[in-house]
Amino acid sequence: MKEDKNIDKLFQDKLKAFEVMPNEKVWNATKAKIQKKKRKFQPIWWFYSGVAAIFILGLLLFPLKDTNIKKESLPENVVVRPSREKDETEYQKNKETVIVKSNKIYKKNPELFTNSKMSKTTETVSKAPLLTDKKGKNPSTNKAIKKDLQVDEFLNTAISVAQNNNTVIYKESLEKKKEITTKSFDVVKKELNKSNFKKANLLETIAENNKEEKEDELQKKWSIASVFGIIDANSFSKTSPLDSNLDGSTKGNKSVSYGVQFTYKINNKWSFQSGIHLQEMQYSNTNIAVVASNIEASNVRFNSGDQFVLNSTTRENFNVNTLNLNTVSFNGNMRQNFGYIEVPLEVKYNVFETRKIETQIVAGFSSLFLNKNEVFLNTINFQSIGAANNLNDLNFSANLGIDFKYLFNKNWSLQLNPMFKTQLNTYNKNSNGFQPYFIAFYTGVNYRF
Amino acid sequence: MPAQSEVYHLFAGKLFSVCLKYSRNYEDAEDTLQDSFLTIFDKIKQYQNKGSFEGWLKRIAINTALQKYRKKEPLYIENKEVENLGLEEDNYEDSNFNVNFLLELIQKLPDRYRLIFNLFVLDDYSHKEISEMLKISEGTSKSNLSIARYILKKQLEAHQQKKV
Repeated sequence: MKEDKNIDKLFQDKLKAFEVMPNEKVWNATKAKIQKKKRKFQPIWWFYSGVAAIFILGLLLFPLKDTNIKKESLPENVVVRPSREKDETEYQKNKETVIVKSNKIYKKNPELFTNSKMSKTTETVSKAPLLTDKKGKNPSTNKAIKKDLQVDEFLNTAISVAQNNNTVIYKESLEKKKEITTKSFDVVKKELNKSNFKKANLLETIAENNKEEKEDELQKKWSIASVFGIIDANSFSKTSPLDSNLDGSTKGNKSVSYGVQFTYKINNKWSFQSGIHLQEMQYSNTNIAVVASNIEASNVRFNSGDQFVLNSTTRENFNVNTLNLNTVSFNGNMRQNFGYIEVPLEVKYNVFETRKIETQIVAGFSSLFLNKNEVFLNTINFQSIGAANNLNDLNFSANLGIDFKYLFNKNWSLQLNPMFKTQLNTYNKNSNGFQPYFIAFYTGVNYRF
Repeated sequence: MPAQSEVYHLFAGKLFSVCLKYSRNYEDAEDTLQDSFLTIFDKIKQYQNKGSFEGWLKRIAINTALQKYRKKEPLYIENKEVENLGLEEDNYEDSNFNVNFLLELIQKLPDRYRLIFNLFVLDDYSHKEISEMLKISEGTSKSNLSIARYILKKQLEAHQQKKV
């Protein structure tokens, strides 16, 4: 015994306090590994940020581009003849009445010409809001035109353009057409007789009306929704990400997700969707034999600093004899909660649409930022709280689903949105083949503006 | 990186000595040190200001070494009778053994003996704790320690005889 102490003391004296600096190459190698680890994340992250940036940039530029397109395409649609051939009832009658009346007025008062020119200017404005009233502000051209051009031709053009605007709307909505054509032309009939200036104003009004209607259609591209969802968590394997000995006992629980969602409509078929959600997932294990251990055994870091080996007593190859004296409990249960801030980026395709119902396919992916990580271990004797040590701070999910909407009116709708989401890189190590996915039912109220 | 660099250079000396004592040789110790620091930087957020930071770092280094060698069985027969090995009662106090020589002796011990000797003698772990850490029985831990001491003694004696 004394001998033992002597030898222990010798080594303690010499080796307990000794310190030796390693070669600097060890630090260089360590540094390189850390940087490599960090860099692994960057490409995905940069790629994702890039997509988001392009998307936002696109949104900023798109509205302008969109109006330009409409402006250019309008003149091509100024085809009055085909509609005449089709004998479009009231349209023609109205138009002819206007022409006749306009002609009369012109004969009485040649100055109408100026006004018809002005009305044309107004149409140009209506077609291209960006061009403003440049032509109208240049009255010097009026005199020349007065002499050379035929009145009928001008009026025809003027009215047919105005009419064409109506035709465009007619195509878009039957109701609107009737309303606008009757309204505007009624007004035209009444007002034409009064004065030239008034008539000019009228055409302007018509054009403006049309413009407003069109802008309404154009501008309702954004929608925002408050969303609440129930998540049913699951996994492609029944293993446990917390301890390989818990094989077969992991069950997914139901949890919730809520947040805000916004959608940008690119055209009638396609739209983009993003938002921000708080999402939680829950898995549980029961019938666990808990064995105290001094080395890191499971992937749970308990706040108390304790280490436990967790064995599922229900798994096939469980053997009681393998448990040692340090077994704390034979019937513990464990719950793992982890939550994310979810930022989805999804594309929606319109497959079926009526006046009241819209159905869209949704596909895309989400960035998930870990914001909650809890593990609760309960046994008869004690409760221990901890966290999983293998969850990535940032991971992604691939999303696929359907979006049903019931439209109350132009602005408000109710949505139901079943989604399947599978997580891609949830764990950074030792997940024992556990890959979470979930089926979620989202519902929410949607406002279009 | 500057923060990591600072932590590394502050504690590398202490932790490398731990690694040297727990490893088979210098190269292994370097590997263990690198792995330890990777774990440390990975888990540094988990350090909860309970107990000393240095103690926490040291535990990680020890655990890293244990993980490396735990599974490898020692070559020696475990339950060899060591109670009456009949060593003479030498007093080593006066002997001027070189640190490097003593370190080498430890490194040459079979894995499990080396780990147990380190844990018990140099880092003050109890046999109960060692048995849990290495997943062996307390009895095995005790007998392994005796064997480790026995081997060391033999080596020291041989060295002294050479000198004389």
